[in-house]
Amino acid sequence: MIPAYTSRDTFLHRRHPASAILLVAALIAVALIADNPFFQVAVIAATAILAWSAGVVKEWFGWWKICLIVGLVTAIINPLVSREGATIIWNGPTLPVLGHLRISWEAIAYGAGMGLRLAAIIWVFALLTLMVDPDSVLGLLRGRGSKSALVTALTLRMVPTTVRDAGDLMDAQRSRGVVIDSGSKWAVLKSRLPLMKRVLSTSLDRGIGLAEAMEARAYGSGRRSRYREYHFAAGDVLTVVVAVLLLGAVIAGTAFGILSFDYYPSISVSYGPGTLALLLSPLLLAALLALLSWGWKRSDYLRLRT
Amino acid sequence: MGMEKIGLLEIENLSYAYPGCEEAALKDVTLSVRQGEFLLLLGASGSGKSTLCRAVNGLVPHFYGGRIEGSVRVDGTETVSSTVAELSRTVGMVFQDPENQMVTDSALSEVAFGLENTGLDRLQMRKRVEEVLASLRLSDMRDSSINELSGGQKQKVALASVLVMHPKVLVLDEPTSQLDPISAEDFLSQLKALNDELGIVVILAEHRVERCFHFADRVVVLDRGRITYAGEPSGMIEWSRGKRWVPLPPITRLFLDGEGNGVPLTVKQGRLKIAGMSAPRVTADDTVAPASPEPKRKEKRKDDRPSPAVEISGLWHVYDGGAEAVRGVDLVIERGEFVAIVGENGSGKTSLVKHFNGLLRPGKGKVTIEGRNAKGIDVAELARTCGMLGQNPNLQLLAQTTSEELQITLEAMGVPRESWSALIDEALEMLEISEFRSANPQDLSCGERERIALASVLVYKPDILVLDEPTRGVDQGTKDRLAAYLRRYNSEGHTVILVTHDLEFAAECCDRVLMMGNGQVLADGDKHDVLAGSLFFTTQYNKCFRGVADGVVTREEASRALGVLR
Repeated sequence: MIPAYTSRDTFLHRRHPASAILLVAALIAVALIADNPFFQVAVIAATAILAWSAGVVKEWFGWWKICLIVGLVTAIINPLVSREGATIIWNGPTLPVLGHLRISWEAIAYGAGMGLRLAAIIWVFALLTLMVDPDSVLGLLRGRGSKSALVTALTLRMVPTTVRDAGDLMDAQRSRGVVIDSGSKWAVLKSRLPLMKRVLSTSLDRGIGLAEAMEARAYGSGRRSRYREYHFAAGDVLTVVVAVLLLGAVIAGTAFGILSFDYYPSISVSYGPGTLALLLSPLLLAALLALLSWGWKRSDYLRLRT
Repeated sequence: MGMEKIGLLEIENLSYAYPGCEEAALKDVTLSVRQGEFLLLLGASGSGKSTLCRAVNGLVPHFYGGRIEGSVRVDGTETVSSTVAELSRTVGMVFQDPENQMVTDSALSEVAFGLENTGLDRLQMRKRVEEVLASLRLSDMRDSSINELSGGQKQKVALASVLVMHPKVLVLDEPTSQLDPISAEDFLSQLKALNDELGIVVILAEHRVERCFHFADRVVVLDRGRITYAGEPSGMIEWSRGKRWVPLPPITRLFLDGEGNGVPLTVKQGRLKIAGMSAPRVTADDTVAPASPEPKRKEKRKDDRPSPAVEISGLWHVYDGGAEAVRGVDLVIERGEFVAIVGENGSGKTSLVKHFNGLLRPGKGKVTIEGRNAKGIDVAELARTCGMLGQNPNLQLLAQTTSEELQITLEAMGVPRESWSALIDEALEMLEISEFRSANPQDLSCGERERIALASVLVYKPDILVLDEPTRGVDQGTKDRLAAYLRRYNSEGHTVILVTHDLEFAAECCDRVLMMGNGQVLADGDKHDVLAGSLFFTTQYNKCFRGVADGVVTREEASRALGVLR
């Protein structure tokens, strides 16, 4: 089960939702910009440090299965479909859809790098879900944006409920001897189709119930006000500054080739003091915020001013 | 001109039919509710209680559509010419399932949601929200995620989220149907306090009469959309004489036969009346012994010692998130026993029984079903011995007709086709649903669907039958029928295990009660010992006869005790 947001008294949890989102967005952006797989490892490590400083490292690590599956699938598929790479390690047969199989060392490395990148992005997203209150994101938006955010929030909230309903439904069927998870894939799919229909109709019922409850509490009666007040404190400014600095450094590093990592036709890496500094930059950002979190917990001065 | 007293809520000749329905759900309903009244709405499933509740806050007809005649006026406003959003400032509504009414993720945001929709300024909002959270003792949970709250707490958050709108009328549609007795008592007591202290009109639709009858100023009974009784609770005694189905608390029903006047309506009145009967203390021999033979498990284990139906040793189960649902449970249920498992929400009852058919596997410990170690045996195989019906019958029903629904089970169990017809006939007959053989279960009432779901398990006659909350949201008539079926099934030698909050139902059906708390077995034994030894987890009869007659937990025992006292 994927753990949901829980309110905690930490520096990161008490951030303005805008600064928290910006920090996460910067981490995702740098993971997308940089090709260097070591940089992806640094982003994952930085995210782990931030999760630790926010007291959610156990929940954050709970996403490893998704990261592993997505990462492995990417790593496996790329060599099968890629025709690039100078170092051929296997010349296979010609298969339908895939064509002539020609596995190169570079394609394997590229697949692994992409898998690592996806894992980094998922783990950063995990940090977002554990650190930022979805209601505060909803509160940030007004007008049409607010409605879209509400629909998104409600949809996301329905996901675990629907998963639970599906689980209960399958349990109910298994409890009367119906076999729904053995046999060929086609047999499994066939046995699950009526269940999916029932899950959908149950979700629809729940949706109607929710719409009823919302309308009964004046939803849609006019302009909404906002209960929560979000102050942009010095800690938020600092968070935004370090996030922007990280993003700027990585963009510059990539533009000047300091962080370049080419997979094709053969693997070539640029390295130097600048490369090392950029590779360490996500860790520096995380260490700075973790240090601030540590101080924030212990010092009233910091807590009141950040 | 004299001042005519006008009710805060005036319903005149209201008739309403849902879209596509020929028959009206409400027929010519006329009702006037005064400021500060506590109105209890009673009636069987499908009698129109929920529809009437929704007519008060305008969801009927604005949300549902349909045909409406007559009028509903709340605080002078016609609901038909207003909107649900406007009416929400006057009428607050709490629904049956707290899961389906939570819009946000935290308690604080949930309570503030309605006020945000009205555009109230932040200072006003803060004052109202904090006041309501404090008054319902929810302040400590303000930042809690909704997922972390118990069922009772969620329902209190739902109440807070409508109370914060400062409504004049609170409408609640079976709000305690999913709560354990203690949470339900806590919730209803707070509701009564709001009614007493703030003068808010409370309209409460409930099946569990014993939980709320004593709070009501007035009772309205609905039958197939018509009001059949509207008046003071005490007036129901005369009204209900000679009627087959009577929505009265157990203690009132006990005194109803043969008493001219002074029939008690509450546990307190019952206790005082019983205490006033000058007679020596009644012992368990006078009440319990003839009605409750020694548990069958003891008889059977003497000679042939067949393996128990369920045997569990050192069972622990920890969910992925780290929650310890079952903590070191040792348990033996012999074949042919009828056992009720009771306890507060989240005490581990459902997690425990899910080990009986392999839906959950032990983290530690051993589960043996009829002598076979459940380890390594898949659920479908265990289901041949242990049939289980979950809390939501809707999730059990997949087919287009009742008959097909039962066929799914028979096919899964590998029963030869030539015997299907006889088995289906027998199951439908036993549960009195033969008339629905060709009906689509989704078109039937909740109680009828419950029976079809039960039939879909009973049709292959499992040795062990496990039912999880079978009386949730079910009216008294359906409950009585269900109790009769289960007793009959048990008398045929099958083991029946009930997970329930309904202690009256458990006492009437079972021989043995197992009380759970915090994942552990807190008490286990004869129902008289366990229920009579509990202050809160016990029946109304026991509360009334405590100190006067020992071990009274069922209606029959209470009648016998009364006979001795008289």
